[in-house]
Amino acid sequence: MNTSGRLSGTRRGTGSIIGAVFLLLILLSGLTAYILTVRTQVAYRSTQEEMDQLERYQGQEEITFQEVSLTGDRRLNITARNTGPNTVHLIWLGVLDETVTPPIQRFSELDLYLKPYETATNISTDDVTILEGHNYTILLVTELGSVFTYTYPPEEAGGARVRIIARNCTVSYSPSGWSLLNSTGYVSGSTSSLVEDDGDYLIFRSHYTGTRRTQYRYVDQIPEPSVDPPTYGAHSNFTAQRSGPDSVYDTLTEESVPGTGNITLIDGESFEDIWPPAGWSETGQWNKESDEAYDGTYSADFDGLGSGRSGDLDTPELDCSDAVAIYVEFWYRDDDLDADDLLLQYYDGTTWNTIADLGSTTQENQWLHYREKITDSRYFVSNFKVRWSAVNIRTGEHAWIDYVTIKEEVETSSYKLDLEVQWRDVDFDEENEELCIYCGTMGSEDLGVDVWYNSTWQSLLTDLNPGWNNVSVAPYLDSPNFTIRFIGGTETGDTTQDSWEIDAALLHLWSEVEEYTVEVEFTGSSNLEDWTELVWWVESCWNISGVDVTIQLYDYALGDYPTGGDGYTSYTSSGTPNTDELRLGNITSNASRFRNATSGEWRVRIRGVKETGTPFLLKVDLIGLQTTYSFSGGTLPYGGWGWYTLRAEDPDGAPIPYAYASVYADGENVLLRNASNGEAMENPAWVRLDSNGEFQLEVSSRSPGGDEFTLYIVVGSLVGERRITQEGST
Amino acid sequence: MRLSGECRGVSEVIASLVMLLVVSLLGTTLYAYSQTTLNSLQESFQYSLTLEEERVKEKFRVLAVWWDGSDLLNITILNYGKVDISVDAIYIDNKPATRFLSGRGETVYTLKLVHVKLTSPVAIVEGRGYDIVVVSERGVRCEYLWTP
Repeated sequence: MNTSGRLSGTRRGTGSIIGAVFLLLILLSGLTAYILTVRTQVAYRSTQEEMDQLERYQGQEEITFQEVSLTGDRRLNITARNTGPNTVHLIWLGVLDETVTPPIQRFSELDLYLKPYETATNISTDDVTILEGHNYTILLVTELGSVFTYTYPPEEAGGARVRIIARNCTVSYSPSGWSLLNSTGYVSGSTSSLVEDDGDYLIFRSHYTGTRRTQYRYVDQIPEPSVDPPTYGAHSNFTAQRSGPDSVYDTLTEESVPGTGNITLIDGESFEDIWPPAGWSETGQWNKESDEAYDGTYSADFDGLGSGRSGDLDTPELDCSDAVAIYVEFWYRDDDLDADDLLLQYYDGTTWNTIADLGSTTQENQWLHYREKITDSRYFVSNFKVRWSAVNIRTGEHAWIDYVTIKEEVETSSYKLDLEVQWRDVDFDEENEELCIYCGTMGSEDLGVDVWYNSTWQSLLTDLNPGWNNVSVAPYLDSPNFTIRFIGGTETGDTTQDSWEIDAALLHLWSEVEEYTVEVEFTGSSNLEDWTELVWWVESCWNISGVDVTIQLYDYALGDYPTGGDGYTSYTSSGTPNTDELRLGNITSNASRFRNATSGEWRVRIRGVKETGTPFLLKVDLIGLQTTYSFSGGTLPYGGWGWYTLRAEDPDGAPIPYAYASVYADGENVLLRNASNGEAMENPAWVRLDSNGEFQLEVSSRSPGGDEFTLYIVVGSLVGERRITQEGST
Repeated sequence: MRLSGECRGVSEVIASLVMLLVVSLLGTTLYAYSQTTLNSLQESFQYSLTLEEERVKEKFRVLAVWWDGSDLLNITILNYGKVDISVDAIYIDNKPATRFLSGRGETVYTLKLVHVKLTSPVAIVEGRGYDIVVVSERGVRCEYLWTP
């Protein structure tokens, strides 16, 4: 084995080869990146060239409007020719009516290819009806974005002119009839009274709609803080009381409340029966006698003799092992007793302890009251006793004991319920006010209800029963806040935990209300145009003050009278009777919904309500509807006002400002007025055009049988005229 | 300490191996670095060129402007380019519109119209000329001179 470490010649270049491979890989990566970049650039350039090419094509597009005419139903009929070198793809047809404000702009999709020098006819759209007197700009849009425009009707070249441009038409309507709703009565007048604001009224009489006004107010809350703490017990689900009855209950459960109580061990022993009383013991000369008695006929008596004799009177053994205090109470009397002659002693289970020297009392021959609360725990034993010990009572000395009472105070716990609930913002002015509580399963203990009134609890119900429990609270409900409490029937020494189910708690408030109402529905007819605006008005008065009035326009799209928004208004009438009040509304959104789409009928309802014992009158002076719609200007409805813009232009189409124009309509009953200010004009009349070379004119014709007339406008030598047909009255 | 003649060959082998290892490591690092850099450059270039290409493909124009007589405008825009667009901003006399009622941000397919309804940021006076500039989301703009 060669261990010299010299590498053979073939292995010397390994490092160079590896380096060369990596160099090659790096070059390959760079080349790849370069190729991709070049490709991207090529694609970009190709796109750019393509778009440039399209732009060049667009520049070469040429469409010529050869003829624009109208079909019988006033649709456009366009004949256009591709006069460019390339095929043109028409994709949109735009029709812009700039005559009206705001302008109307419609775009319809096309898909029409026109080869070079090819002519297309009947390019049209069903979306647009061409109105007489309106000026349109027609757009033909190609796929490459070229737009070719045409003005229709074509402008007359070579001279100034006067134009009469129709804007819109306004027609007003009054009711043609009315319907009395419910028992509203008719008094006097007719629909002709409703046309003018002239004090000529159509009068209606109200009818009685007195009713019972009822409210059901469920309980609102648990008062925090409590109106009279402390409270005891718990709600399981107070919310359940706030609805129903629905068998969802709020269960009220009593709470264990610790406390103390007294147990009477000897209850007013006055020694009236056997001697000694049962359980008592005596030694010496203690007996019962009737010579002195505090209570009843007898008392325990000890009479002295000679140089003295002694004896004890003992109570039975009293079990005071669970006591926290012992109350000893009796009456005693001494006659000539000396100190230490009559001792009061307590037995602590092992020893008698002297507590008081009753013989030392200076007030003799009278009954004295002894009372003591023993808190010394030595005496809290199972065989506690009290002793009256007579010691060396001599002749002429006497001791009496009567009416002995001994009690022990022990720790107790009792189940209690005292839960308050409250109503807030209660309407406390109603004639009838009842508290209604619906109960489910009730615990065996009584459940009472008290009301908080004049800072104290007043009992309302002593025991709630399953089902409804109703009680009048009118005497207590004199403020917006109303608080009651559920209270357990047994609150002392109650060792049983009860619960009660409350389904609903509410106040039932009601009053009998005297009320009168007027309800009238007026109907009228109208046109079937597409209304751009609807103005309505009602002027009326009432022969009493403060009537709640609602005026509604019937919404045929809704199928009902609206309760808000357009076509609705409500107000309280003037405080002064017989005061005319005008209410009006202006509807610009979807106004046509307030008339029948086929008959043109419209309806207005007036309703007046007042809480009163006196019938009253509705007096309607004026009701009207004014409808506005776009029109061609060639036809005017009877009584309608057509708005025309009179415009003088020079040969370039620029306005001729401030020129004087003569306006004349040759009809029989034509009325003219200035549309800008509403002022009536003579016929014929001179008017001055404004800075835009325009005058806004309104024309109306009122020939009952219809009429045809021509409207002329003359500015210098320029004459514009418009033939107008007035429809007859129907 | 001097190594004997027999031990010299061993260090040359190790040195050769170390050299190979160093060359391999350097080569790998250099290759990885060049690959990452080239990829990054190429992607960045391709992205910007693609975006630019889409911008070139965008063509749109204002066909009509509707005015309600106060300050409400409805601008009808035709997309006649080769990609879908959406309108991002509209300037009227260099003032950007801020209250759009509809149309803004909507995708407008090729050869379709969009109606952008907006409140004009400047008061419109009849007879005066207004410069309306529509800007797409890719930043392409289109100018239109409008006279109400």
